[in-house]
Amino acid sequence: MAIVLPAGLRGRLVALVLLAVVPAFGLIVYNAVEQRTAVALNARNDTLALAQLVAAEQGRIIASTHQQLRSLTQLPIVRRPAWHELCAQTLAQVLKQHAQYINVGVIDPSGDVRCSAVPSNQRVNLGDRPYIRRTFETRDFASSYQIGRITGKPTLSIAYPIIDDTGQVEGAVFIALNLVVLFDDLIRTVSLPEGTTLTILNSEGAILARHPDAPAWVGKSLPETELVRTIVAQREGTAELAGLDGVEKFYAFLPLRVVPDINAYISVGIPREIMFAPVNSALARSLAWLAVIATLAGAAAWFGARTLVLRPVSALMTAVTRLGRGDLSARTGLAHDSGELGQLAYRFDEMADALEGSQTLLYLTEAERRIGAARFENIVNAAADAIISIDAGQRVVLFNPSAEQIFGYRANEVLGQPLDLLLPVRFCEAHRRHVQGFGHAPETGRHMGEREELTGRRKDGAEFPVEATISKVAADGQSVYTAILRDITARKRAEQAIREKDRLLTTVGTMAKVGGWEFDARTRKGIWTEEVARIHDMDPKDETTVEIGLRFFQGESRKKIEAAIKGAMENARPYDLELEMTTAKGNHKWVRTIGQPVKEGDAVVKIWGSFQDITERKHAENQIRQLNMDLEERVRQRTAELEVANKELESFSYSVSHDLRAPLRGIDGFSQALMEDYADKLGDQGKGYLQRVRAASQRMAELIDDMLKLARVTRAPMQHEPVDLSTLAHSIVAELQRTQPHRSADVAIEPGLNASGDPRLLRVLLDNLLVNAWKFTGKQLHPKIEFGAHHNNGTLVYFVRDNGAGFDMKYAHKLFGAFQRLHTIAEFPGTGIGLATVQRIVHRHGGRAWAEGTEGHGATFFFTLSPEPAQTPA
Amino acid sequence: MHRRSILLVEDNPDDEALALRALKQNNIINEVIVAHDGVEALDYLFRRGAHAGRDASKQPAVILLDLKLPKIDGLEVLKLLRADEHLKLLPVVILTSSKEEQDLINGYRLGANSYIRKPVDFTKFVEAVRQLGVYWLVLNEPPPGNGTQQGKIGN
Repeated sequence: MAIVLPAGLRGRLVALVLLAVVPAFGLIVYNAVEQRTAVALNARNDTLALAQLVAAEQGRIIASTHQQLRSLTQLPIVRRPAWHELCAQTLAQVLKQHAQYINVGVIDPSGDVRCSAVPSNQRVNLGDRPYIRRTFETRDFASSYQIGRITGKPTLSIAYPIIDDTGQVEGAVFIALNLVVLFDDLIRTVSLPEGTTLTILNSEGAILARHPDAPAWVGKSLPETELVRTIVAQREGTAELAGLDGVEKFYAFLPLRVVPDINAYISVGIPREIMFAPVNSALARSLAWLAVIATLAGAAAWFGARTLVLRPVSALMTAVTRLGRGDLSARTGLAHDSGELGQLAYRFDEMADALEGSQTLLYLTEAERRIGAARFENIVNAAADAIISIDAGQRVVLFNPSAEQIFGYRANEVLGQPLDLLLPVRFCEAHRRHVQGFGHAPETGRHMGEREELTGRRKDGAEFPVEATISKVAADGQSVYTAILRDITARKRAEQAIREKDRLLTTVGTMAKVGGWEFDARTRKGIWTEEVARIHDMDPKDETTVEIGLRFFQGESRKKIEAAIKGAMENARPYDLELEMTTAKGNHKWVRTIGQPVKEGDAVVKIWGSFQDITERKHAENQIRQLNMDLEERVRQRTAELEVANKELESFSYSVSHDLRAPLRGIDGFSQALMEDYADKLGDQGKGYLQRVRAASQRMAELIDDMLKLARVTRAPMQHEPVDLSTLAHSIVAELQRTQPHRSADVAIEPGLNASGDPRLLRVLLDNLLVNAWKFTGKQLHPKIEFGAHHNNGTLVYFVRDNGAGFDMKYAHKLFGAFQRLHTIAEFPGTGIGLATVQRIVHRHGGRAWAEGTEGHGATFFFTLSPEPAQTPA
Repeated sequence: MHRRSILLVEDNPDDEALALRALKQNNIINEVIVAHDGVEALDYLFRRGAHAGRDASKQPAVILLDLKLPKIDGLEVLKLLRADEHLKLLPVVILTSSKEEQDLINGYRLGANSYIRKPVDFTKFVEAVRQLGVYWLVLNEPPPGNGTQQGKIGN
C-alpha cells in the first residue's frame, strides 16, 4: 500500500517532523516492559519475605504460648479436679491478661472440659480434636488451626498434657489463640502494600484466617481453587494467579511448622495492579510528554514553513502570474540572497526588467491618443443628461448611459438606427426637416426648439417631455449632430402640482370669501389676492397702498383699523378685527382682517394677513340674536300663561274640593234621614233605592277625591333628592299588612334601590303599585309580590311584579288612563286612578311606565325615573 | 244648670240641617247658635249688630267653623278671632268639605284647634259629630274666664 503524502509543502514538512518522534516512542515502550519484568521479580521476593515473616511471627507466638502452658500445668488448682471453680476463675484471669487468647481451659483424660476461662453452659468434650488426642499420645505439645468449639471463632489451639507424680496423664491444658487478633497485631507491626491479602488455610482448603474481610472468608472451604491446589502441591513457593477473590496477584506461600506435623499454610498475595502502578504511571507520563513535544514540533513546522518557504514561493508565483497577464511591472520583491529561492527571484526580476524596458517606448506613443479618447468617453458616460449623436443620415452614432436610462434602450439596440426610433411618430417628419434646416444654418450650437418643449418616446412607447441642446460638428467632411437632452417629466409634474394648488387656493378663497394681502412698511405699497380686491369691488390689477385700503372704512371702523395698523407698524402688535366697510361700488360689508407684522431685526418691514368678507355671518348672527330675544320673550309669555292656567286649575280644584262634595252630603244625609224618619212608609224596596242613592253619592265623593289627588300630583312642585325606594317599599308593605292582618303575601324587595326624585311623589307612586299588587293578588292561594330593578341600555328599570289577576295585553294601552278599569268594582274595588297617577309621577320625573301581563297569571309594572337614551320599549 | 253653647258657622242650609240632626241623634242638647256667614259669626262673637248687648260671659264652648262662607270666609273669621284679646283662646274646630293642603296649613297656622272633614257618608258624619261632642263638650277643659259651666250630654 502506497503511503499518501500531503500535496502541499507545509503538510510534507510537518509529516517529516512527526516521523522523527517515532523512535522515541519505541524506546519508551521498551523501557516500560523492562521495568515491569524487574518489578515482577521483586514482587515475588517481597511476597515470599512477607510470608516468611508471618510464619516466623506465628512461631514466636506459639513458643511463648508453650511457655504459658507449661507453667499452667504446674498449678495445683489446675491439677486438682475438685477445684474446678477456682480453676475457672484463675483461667479467666489469665485470659484477661492476654488479648491474643480467646480461651484457656483444662480437660480430663476423657476429653471433657473440666474448667475454662470462657464458661460453657453444657458439657463440652474435646476428646475428638486431633491435637488433644495427639497431646495425650505424645505427652507433649500439640496444636491445630481450627474453629473453636466453645468460642465459635477461628483459633490456633495448643494443648499440653498434665502428668501426675506417677507419670500418668491426668488431663491437659489448652490455649486457643484468636487468629483475627493475631493478624491484627501482625499488620500493626509490618507495613503491607495496599491490597495485600494474608490467608491461613489447612490442607483441606478450609480458610482458617484471613486479612482483610475475615468474617466473609473464615470457615469457607475452597479445595478446588487453583491457589489451594497449587499450595497443597508445592507446599512452599511463589505463584502468579487469580486469588480466591478473583484479583490477579503475586502469591507466596509456605507451611506453618508448629508441631511435628503440618496442618496449615500461610499465603501472602499482593495485587499485580498495585505492583505495576508506578511503572504504568511512568509510562503514561513519558507518552504524554512525547505527545506534547510532537505537537509543538508539528506546529513549529507548520508556522515556520509559511515564513521560510511558502511566502517566497507564493511571491514568485504571484509575480509570474502578473507577468503572464502582461503586467510588465511585476517583480518578486524578494531579497536576492545566495539561497536557491533568492537566486530564482533574482533571475526572474532581471527578466521582468528587460521585458518592461522594451514595452515602455511602445506604450508612450499610444498614451496621448488614449487619454484624449478616454476623457471624452468619461464625460459622455458620466453625464446626467442623455447625449445622442446622429450622422448626416440621421442615424444614431452615439448613445450614452444616461440616454439608455432615459429612453429605456440599450446602446446596441439604437446605434445605427434612424433617430425616428426615439420620437413619437407624429413628430418624426417635422423633426427631420428641422434637423436638415439646422444643418444648413451657420451656427454650431443652440437650444433646440427655442424653449419649445420637445417630446421623446421611450422603448415602451411612453412619451415624455424633454429639453434639448443641439450642436453640429463636421468631421471627415460629414456633419455629426449631437443633442444633449434632459427628461423634464418631474419638473413638469411639479409645475402642474403648483398650478393645481394655486387654483385650489383661489377657489377656496372665492368660496370662503377670504384672501391675503401684504404691504411694505416703508413704501406703504401693497399687494392683495384677487379675492381681496373683489371684496373691495376693485380690479385685482389696480395698485394698492395702505392709504387706499383705509379709504374703505369710516367712522368707528376707520378709527379701529388706523390704530391697529399704527400698533403693528410701531410696536409689531398683531391684530384681528371685525369691521364695517363701504366698497368701491358703495356696498356695505362686514369684514374680518387679521394683520401680522414681520420684523427684520427690530424694525417692522412689512405687514401681511388675511381679509375675509363676513357679511353673511354677521347677518346670521344678528338674526340669531333677534331670534333669541324673540324666544326669550315668548318663553316669558308662555310662562306667565302657564302660571295663570295653573292658578285657574288650582282655584278650580279648590272649588271642586269644597263645592262638589256639599251636595253629595245633602243627598246622602237626607236619604238617610228619609230611611230613618219614614221607614214605615218606604217599605223595603224604597229603603233599597235610598241605599243605592247613598252608595252612588259616596262613590261619587270617592271619584272626586281621586280626581283631586290626580290633579295634585300634576300640580305639586317637584323636589329632587335621593330617595331610598327599598325602605319606602318595605314601609308601604308593612302598612298594608297592618291594615289587613288577615292577608299574607310573599313579598320580595330588592335591597339598596335608590332613586333621585320627589320623595312625596315617589311614595305615592310606589304606594299605588304595591297597593295594586296587594289588591290583585287577593284571590291567590300563594300571593307573590316582587319589587326590583334591572339595567336596560344604561337605564335603571324598576318593576313591581305580582302573580295576581293580571290583564289581557289587548288592554295594556288603557291601563294608565284616568278612571280606566279592567275589572268590575265587585271583583276588585277602586276608581281607576292609581295607574294614571303612577304614569303622571313617572312622567314628571322624565321617565316612562309600561306593563306586561297575562290574564290570570299576574302582571309586571315597569317604570324608569330618568330619560332613556334610546326609546326601545322592553 | 247652664249648658255651654255651640256656635255653628255654616252657610249651606242642607249642611246646617244635617249637622243639627247629627247633634240631636247624639243627644247633644246644648244650645246651638247658627251663623250663616262670616259677618254673622263675628257679630255674634264680638256682640255687634243683631247680637249687641249679648251676655259676654256666655261664650260658646266650641266653634264649628266652615271655611267657604259668603262675605267673610272662615279663615278670615279665625284670624280676627285669634287677634282679639278676649276671644283668642276660644276652641275652634274647622268643619268643612275639603282637605286641601293649603286649607289645612292655613287653618292650623291661624290657630285652629282641630280640623275635621265632613264625610259624605252621613252615618260617618253622625259618628264624627258624636266624637266631637264627647271631646269638646265633655272631655276638654275650656280655657279659664269664658263662662263657668261644663257642657253635658244627656237627655
